[in-house]
Amino acid sequence: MREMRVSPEALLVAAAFIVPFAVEFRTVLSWVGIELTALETALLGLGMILALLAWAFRPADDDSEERPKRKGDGGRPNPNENRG
Amino acid sequence: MSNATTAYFEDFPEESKVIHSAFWSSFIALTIGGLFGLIQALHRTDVFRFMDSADYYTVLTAHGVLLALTFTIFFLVGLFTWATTTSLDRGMVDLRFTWGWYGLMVLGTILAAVPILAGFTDSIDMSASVLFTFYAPLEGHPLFYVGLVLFVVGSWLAGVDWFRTWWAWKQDNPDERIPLPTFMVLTTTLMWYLATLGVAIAILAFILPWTLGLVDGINPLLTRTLFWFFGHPVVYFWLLPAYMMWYIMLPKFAGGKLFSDPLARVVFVLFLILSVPTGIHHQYLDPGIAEGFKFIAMTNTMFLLLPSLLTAFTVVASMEHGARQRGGTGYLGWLKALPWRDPVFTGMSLAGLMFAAAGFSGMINAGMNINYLVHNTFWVVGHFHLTVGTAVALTFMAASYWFIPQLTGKRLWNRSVALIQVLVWFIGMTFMSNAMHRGGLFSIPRRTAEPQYEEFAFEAGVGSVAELNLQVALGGTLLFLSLVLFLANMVVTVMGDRADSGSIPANTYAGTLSGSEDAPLILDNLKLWTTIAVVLVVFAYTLPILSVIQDGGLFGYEINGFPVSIAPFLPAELPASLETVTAALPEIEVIP
Repeated sequence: MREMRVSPEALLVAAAFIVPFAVEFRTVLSWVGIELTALETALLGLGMILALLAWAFRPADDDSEERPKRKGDGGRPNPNENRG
Repeated sequence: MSNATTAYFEDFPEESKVIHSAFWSSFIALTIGGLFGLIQALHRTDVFRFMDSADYYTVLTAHGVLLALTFTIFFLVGLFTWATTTSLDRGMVDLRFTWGWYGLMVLGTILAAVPILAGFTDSIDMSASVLFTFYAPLEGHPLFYVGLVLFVVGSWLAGVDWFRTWWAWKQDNPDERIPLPTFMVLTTTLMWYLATLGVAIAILAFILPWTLGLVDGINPLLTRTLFWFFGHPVVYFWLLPAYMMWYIMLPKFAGGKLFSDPLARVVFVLFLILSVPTGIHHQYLDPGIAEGFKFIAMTNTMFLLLPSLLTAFTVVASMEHGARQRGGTGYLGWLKALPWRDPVFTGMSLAGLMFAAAGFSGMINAGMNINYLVHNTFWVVGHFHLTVGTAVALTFMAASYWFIPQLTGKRLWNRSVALIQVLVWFIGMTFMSNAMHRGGLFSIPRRTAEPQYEEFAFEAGVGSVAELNLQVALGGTLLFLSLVLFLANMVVTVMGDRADSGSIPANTYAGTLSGSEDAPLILDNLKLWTTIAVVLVVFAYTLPILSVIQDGGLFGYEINGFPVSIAPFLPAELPASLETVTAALPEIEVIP
């Protein structure tokens, strides 16, 4: 399996962050006269999650210097990380 | 003991048992209270109703008392005992005394819970569906108030225990600075002693004598004011243990160090000074308290933003330091280097993030003019589900994934389930609190079993009220699912076999980039800060309380309480009670 840009756990966290964004974005859009239905908001959130997945699985070619290694969620492993 | 090499249970086996017991007392309260939360979410949104709406208020009382007091404070006493012993590197002075206050808190909880839960049945002649705020003239069974008193006295004795342990350490280390975790424990405890004076006087001097029939009347505004004397600082009593975790544990899990020990001390000193003289901001719409006093309370409250903003800066700076130690780079790219796979780190971080949102809604609550828009609406419920329901509860649950192995020597059952659990809580609370805040803006009331009215409909600004109701129900269901995952993880963990020696992480907390040696000595002068706190309370409360007593009397009006078990008392009691209240009210001219 091709290596992802981030660990599955980090991807899960990023996907979770999309939920409040989508929920609040609906309200923000209403301020500029764009009123989305609940279904449209859900589809928008789903679209953002799919875009996130596409980014995560896209081969990393030009930013390998910037990108932390996957191990330990990127970067060096943390000796204090909870393994209990 | 920030450099320990062994787990907590190996160094402090006896204290581990006390703390483990306190944590499980907390988890049991969380389980029952959480179940009641789901029932409320489904009932008031009319998604699923299986009980009489009169019982909603019994459920609401149990939910509030068990979560806001029992869950939080049992966890706090366990956490503070860990913090004291770990940072002083010595056991409690007298473990029998430690077990004694824990037992007293358990007894208090049982005595308070029995009359609340008895409200579900007519066969037991007691009830206490008076909600978490127990405003007179709602009248609960005296046992409820006695239970609350014993519970608080237990927490006072816990504070005595921490102070004794610190004092014993100080005799051996006269020239040492107070270790940061112990400093946090002591300042929080001092704030608690000051704050609980209000509720102690309200119950012991007024409510309990009234419910026992020793006095005929009560001044509801006086007891409300005394309740909020305690009722606002209690939120900091829940919150400061979470702050402690963010300061001394989160940087460690991020792979770095606490940015500034002196700044952390300043924050806790500010909470000691400013937490109590603010409670009147819960009473902006109470008649009988002059606007000027409310304005003073608002000013004090706004000052409390300072320690919260200092905390946001310090904790985020510490996390960034940790991330850069782990190889993170860039303005925001360092975020990717944080250990998101660790449920302890992720749970605490998400809790902190949601607390930032809670801070913004809290500012609206605290603003005297804009508060009128949201007072007693669903907005307020959304706000405190972000503070105590997420900043505190999610931090405590995440911390438990580290603490339970520390206390038992058993490895956490499943880290992946733990990570999913904290994320589900985050998502569930997003749905629920968003809908609650928005519903409040449309004036949907709080503390109401059926906020659906004939010939009147709330108008949602975006979407519909039906959508908001579904959002609340969905959020509540996800939160309960998250709670089940948490409890399953905890139960299976403690039922497992003890791990091999040395396989549990060492009991350490974060080091500091700027340590206690950089903190001015005056910060450790607890007498000075306590004196200032008392003076501020005297300034903020003396005149309002004297005014309330002058207007309504020390023991108020002769009021037959409203025993809150709906049947069979109502038919006999209601007319007489209503008559008394009506007689006490001034004449009101209704203008068509």
